[in-house]
Amino acid sequence: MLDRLSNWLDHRTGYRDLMKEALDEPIPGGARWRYVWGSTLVFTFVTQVVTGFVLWASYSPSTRTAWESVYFIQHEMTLGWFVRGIHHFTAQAMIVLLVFHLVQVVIDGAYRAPREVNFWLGIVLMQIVMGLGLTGYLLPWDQKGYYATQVATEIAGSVPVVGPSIQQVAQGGTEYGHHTLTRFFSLHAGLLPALLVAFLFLHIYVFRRHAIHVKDTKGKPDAKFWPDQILKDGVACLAVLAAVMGLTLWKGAELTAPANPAEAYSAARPEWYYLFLFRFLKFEWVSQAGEATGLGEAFGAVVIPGVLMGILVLMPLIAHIRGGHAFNVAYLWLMIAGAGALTGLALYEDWYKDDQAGRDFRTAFAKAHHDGERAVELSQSPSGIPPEGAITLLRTDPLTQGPALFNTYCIECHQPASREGEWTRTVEEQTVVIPPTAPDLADPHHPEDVRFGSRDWIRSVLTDFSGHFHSLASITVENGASEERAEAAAAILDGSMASWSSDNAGTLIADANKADFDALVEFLYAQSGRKDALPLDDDQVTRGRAIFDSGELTEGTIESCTGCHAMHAQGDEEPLSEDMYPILTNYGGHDWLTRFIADPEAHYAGNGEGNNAMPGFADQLSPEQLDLLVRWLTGDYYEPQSE
Amino acid sequence: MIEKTPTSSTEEPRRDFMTKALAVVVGAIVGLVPIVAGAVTMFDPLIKRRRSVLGTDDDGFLKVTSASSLDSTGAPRMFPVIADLQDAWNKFPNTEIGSVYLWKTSEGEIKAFTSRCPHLGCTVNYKASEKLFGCPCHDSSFNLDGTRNNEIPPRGMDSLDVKEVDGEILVKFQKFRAGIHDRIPV
Repeated sequence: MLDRLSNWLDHRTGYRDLMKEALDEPIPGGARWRYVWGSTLVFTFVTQVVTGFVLWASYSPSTRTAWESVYFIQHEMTLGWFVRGIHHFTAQAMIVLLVFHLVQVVIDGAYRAPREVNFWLGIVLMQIVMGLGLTGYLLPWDQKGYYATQVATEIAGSVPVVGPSIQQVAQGGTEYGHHTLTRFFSLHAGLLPALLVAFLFLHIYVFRRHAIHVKDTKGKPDAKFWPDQILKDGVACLAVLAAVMGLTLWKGAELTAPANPAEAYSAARPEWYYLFLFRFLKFEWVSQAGEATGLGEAFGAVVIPGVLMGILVLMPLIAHIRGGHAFNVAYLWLMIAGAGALTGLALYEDWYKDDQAGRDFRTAFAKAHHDGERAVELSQSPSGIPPEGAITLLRTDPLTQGPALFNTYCIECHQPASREGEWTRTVEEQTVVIPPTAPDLADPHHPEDVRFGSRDWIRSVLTDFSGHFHSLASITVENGASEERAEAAAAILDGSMASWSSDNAGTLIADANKADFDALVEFLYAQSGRKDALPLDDDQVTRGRAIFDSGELTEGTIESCTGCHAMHAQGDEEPLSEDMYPILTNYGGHDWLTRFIADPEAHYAGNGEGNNAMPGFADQLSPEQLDLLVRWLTGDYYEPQSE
Repeated sequence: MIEKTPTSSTEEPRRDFMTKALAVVVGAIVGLVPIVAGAVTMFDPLIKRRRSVLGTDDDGFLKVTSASSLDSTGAPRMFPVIADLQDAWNKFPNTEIGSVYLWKTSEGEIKAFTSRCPHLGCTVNYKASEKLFGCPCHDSSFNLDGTRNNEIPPRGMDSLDVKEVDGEILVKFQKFRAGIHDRIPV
């Protein structure tokens, strides 16, 4: 029955001849491992078609949906992370396998007559694969892909005469936008794969026409493609797949924060296989040569690589010259060594070199990684991704924007203790370290760990006021402060709270009063309304409230806080005290801090009588910015529930 | 065309069989991993059920309109159904998710029908002159009480649960499988 069916089918289609042609290809000298590279490339391409189709079925190319749909594939869809990981790492494996294939072909001399045309077809295929890598890198529309691809399109734009037109056609306009994605996607999933299939067909057709190039049979018996060589090919493919799966499980395909044209990405690097070119363009002499030749950046980015690639193309012709083959082999190894050295140099400078640029790169990379994780956290939060896209999630996130604002507006005075000395200014051509002039509130490098308003902060203010605010001593006229500010700073350090602290610290930290001191701190902490404060009716808080009001502790008394401070305790109907400054109502909370940053003087000492040394920021920060900064400092932002 | 090439198969048929078997196994592994993983991801909609309409009450009812808007005519009118929608990665607040026919009968009963035709899912029109619902696609026709007026649709129009709370009309907006006799929620 089965026989009759297959006879019928063969009669109508001739499939047996085709199978025989495909499988019984003779391999003189037997199957060998060095022949596997072409097959692994076919395998990786098929894998890319399969996984690429699945990704395509869930991907949405626009600036407000690309990152979002990739996020959904990566974090929500069943095995989406796996399929994307396979696609991501197989793309990189293809580049490695291309190099292996090229090396094998060149050192075996398989590019020589009559196989020149097939060598050229192979080089075309290499360009297509590199184009696929380049176009695919942009599609997630994350910071990494966005900024790395900018460089590529700017390079295209640097080509004399036609460059700007090429760039605009590729981008779909003068700037990146929806059409950049739709165009890159149509290239990546449409034109380039179609071209690849066409050229691959020609490549294999011509390969079969000339049969496999065997350098030396070494007297071994012949074999056929099936099953001997196929088994070796299969094992090689299995090794490639294992490596790709290993990387997927170990590293996974990264998704950094959504692309943001307003947010610098200082860790922008192309995919690793373009790093050599990236590093090459960093050499000053390359730019100088570009300047001298009038070609600009195109000299290093287009002309030089074009010439090097041109020599590669000419290899089959060069081989006709005496010593040509040896030259070709040497040239190829030299190219690989050069690219390898440049790649190594770039990696070393970014990841290991202990200089400012290296440290900056690593800081920026860590931040990008952190932002990416945060964007995912927020996307998974109950509020979800709004129609305007995930980019708004980070823009309205206090944990992301607060530290950035702090870095811009606050950090020069409020230097993190561990980073003192990082800030300098130039005075009469001398670099002078700026001393901190205000207490350490937080370090934007560790945004989850805010010191301001914490229980430790409150303890420190109460028991070591002078130490806590010691940096105010640097607000002097010599350091460039106005006389008013210098006086205000001195007044704070010399003021009544400083003496209160030194008078009462001993009582507060006495062993017998430990619980009382904790209660007082908790009461003050609870005023901020922070998420981790004890509830207002907790015994500890009410005990603290009593101490705040009366000053009476288990052992001894302190001067009552209500004697100097206005305080309307949270949850109370009547204020404990009024009309005294500094106001402690909602101390360290959203309202208190918002008003304090906007205008410290009015808030701290009443209208017009201000004696706070901090400048007001009402004019510098918009209400939205102020809100983001305050919400960060007071811990008012989304945190995923830990399970 | 077909060349005779020496093979090891005549000498070592066992070894050759092993090679073939191994080649098939290895080939199956490398081929199936991407295909199976890809298929699993493609079948994600069958694996994970994602609630898409948000903001209903505990029984699944959504506010559609105010009770007073039904007082006037007594004829069916179409109302859009607005809800918060979770569509894959996006959360759309207050967006259109469908439409319903609502009216109050002369006995004061509130009727609610989904506007989706039970035949093949087109949106049904109400023809006031004939006092009939008619589907513009395949001419399904329904009476005012939702029963079939011709044999094209497999069942009558799908009525929806409706209730009045604090002067608001709430409808349990549901989708039913089209093209079959039984009324089965999707």
